[in-house]
Amino acid sequence: MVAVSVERLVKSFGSLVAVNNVTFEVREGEIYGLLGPNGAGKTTTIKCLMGLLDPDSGSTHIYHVNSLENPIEAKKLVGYVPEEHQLYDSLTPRELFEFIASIRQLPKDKTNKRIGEMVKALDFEKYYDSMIVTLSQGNKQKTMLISALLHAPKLLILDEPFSGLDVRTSKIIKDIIQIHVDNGGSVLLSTHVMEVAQGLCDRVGIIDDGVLVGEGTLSELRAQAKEESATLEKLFLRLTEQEEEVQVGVDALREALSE
Amino acid sequence: MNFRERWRLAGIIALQMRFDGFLKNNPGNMARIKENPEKISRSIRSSSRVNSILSVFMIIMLAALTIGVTGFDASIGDLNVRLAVGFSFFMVLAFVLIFLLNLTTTTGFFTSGAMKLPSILPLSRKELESLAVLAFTRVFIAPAILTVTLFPAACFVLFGPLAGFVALIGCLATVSVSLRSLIGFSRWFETKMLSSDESKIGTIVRIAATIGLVVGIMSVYMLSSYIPYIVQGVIMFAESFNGTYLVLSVLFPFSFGFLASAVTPGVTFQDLMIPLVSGGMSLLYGLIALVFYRQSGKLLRGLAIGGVSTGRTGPLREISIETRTPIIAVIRKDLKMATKSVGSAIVYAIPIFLMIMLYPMIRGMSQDGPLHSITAMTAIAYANLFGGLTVVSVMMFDTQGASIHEGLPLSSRLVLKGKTAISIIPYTMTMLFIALLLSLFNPITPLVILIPILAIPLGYAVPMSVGAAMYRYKGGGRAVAINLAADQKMALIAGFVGAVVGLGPLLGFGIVMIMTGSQIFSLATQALVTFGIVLMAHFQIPKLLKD
Repeated sequence: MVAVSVERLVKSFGSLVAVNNVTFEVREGEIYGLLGPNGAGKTTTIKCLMGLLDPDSGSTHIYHVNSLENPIEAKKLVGYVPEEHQLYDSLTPRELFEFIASIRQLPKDKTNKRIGEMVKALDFEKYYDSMIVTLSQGNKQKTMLISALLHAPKLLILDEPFSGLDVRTSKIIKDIIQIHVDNGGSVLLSTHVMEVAQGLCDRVGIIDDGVLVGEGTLSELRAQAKEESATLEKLFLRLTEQEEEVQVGVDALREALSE
Repeated sequence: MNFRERWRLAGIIALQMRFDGFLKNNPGNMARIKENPEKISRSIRSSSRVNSILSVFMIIMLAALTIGVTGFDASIGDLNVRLAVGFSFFMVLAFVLIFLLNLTTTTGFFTSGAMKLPSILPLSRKELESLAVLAFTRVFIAPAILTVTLFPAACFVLFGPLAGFVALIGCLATVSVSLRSLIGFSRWFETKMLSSDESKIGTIVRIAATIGLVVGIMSVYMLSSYIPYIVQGVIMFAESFNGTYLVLSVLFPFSFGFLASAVTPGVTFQDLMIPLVSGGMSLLYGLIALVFYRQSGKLLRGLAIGGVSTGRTGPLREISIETRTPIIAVIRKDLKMATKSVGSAIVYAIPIFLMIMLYPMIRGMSQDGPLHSITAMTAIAYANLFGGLTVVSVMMFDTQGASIHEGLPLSSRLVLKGKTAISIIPYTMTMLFIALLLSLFNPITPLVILIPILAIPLGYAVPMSVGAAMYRYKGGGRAVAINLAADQKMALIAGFVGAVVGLGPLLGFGIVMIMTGSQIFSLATQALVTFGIVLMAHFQIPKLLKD
């Protein structure tokens, strides 16, 4: 079964084509990494998939629900952690979770058990009744994560979930992702941290300038790039044609810093 | 770094503050900013231009009215006290205007990261301080410059160079005091608003402060109509008690007013102590204003770089949560947020503000004889205009949680229904207040009181229509956050749509009244048209929305 299907997606902002004919699938029970440099079109693709942006053309489905035509039904299946943390700053996490659980109409007992476990696992008890605006970046991320997992979604969509997190929280999030998949869920993960993607993802799609330049498992990408033992970082740079660019940049920097 | 360079840099910081503020107040734009960056950029420019123009307009109007009333309206008191009270009054109003109209921007200044970059650059503490003050000043430069130029210049021409000079020092002191008060209050307010104190007293303090503030901000726009009465009231009060003028000449900013009056050619005070005391106190206040200016710099630097500390953790309580139906959850969330922000409190303040505005109007109309239906209709028309503003104020609550909304299966229809449900309360209260006011002032028939009562169902149709118009205009039909403070154009559109929707039943009433002269038929028509509009709002408006 296919968890996510994006077909020939095109989205432009004025003259800039942010997503150009992108097609990929996330299979049920897999962790799919959407990789790309900053501004490559990862977040735009995810926002179109979530029905938050109207694409110029193409289609997006979540568990066969057309997310452009029926975003509400699609969102019922998804736990989404966006890149920006625009939370209800003047509420506390408790008030926020109450709001989310009510909107999603979750059963009280089951939800309370789930929240209790997650709060404990993420060492979040002492921030539970603090106003969100006073929380650190990491604690806001934990708030977002609990919010996304509250309804035990079939699909997790995480947009740059490891930005600005400490080692402990990053590890916990990686474990949560793995546990989610072990329990039959699927994950679409956007990141530009290659080590994370290499260690965590079953398959990756590399997007550059809005175009999907490579897709597959690590060994498939190695075969595509004709690099037998290359790391994902090296493959990424090769496929996005940045190897030479990076070298030129490093050389220029070396010269500038040595002056 | 010379002043010109600092001024230029401060301009960049001020622009960034406005940009941050705009995005913070309208996070719905975050996701869409790439779609049309020029539009967002234009929107920021136009909203700050509208804010500046409104402030400038208010200052010009206040200056013109104050000078007109105090310099040339011989029916109010003697020239010496009239001038003194008039000069002082302008300074008081300028203080109120600068303070209240800039409070939301100022609180944003402390949370904006605009000062973070300069603080890591190799700039001295003094330069940073100066940059912070200049950036802050640039945000409300227009009313500040007008305050210290327009009024003193007019005084210079009309009442002589000495009066002009004293007015200039007084206005400079006023701007400095406003700045210092603004910073102090913003700091307190930001801390108070961000406190998660759930005690009843904490909530009451928050609501009281916000309502006071919102009523204050809205009253600023009305103050100009009351200038002659207020000046007359102050003079009448002062003349009832001996020595009041002397006491006033000790107080800021009256000391500047009395001194300016004393140095105006042809003006004399029988009690010589008044010019002497006002002179001494003006000097003292001038020095205090100077100290305040320096303090502002230090506070601004500290606050702008360090921000307001609000991080704290409370005692651990039970983890379990309570769930409700989606619509109740939306309403509860909005009501909770309403007690925690200035912009949100406008919802509670609108009926109070309307009463302040409508009371003198209805009272005035009642002086010409019994109240006719037209009085009720006029009051309702005003209420509809403000009904439109109410729902937009509720929409302001969503200026926060965009990340939460993006992931939730929350339809635009449900969001709008939640906002409408909250807006119905102040709308109903307003109509009941109008009915009460009408009953107090001898209506020609008790049936007149029924006009606002029959308008209550519009409390559903007005917010639904205004909300849908806002969502169509701003979000292409999707539920988005609207911020009145950052985008005053939306206030005009909301007021217009609210007024137009509310006009239908009133037109029906009026036409039938002209045709039949029967109050009963007119009321029946009003009720029918209202019913029709409510049905249309219920069944047609959701079709305009998009998820």
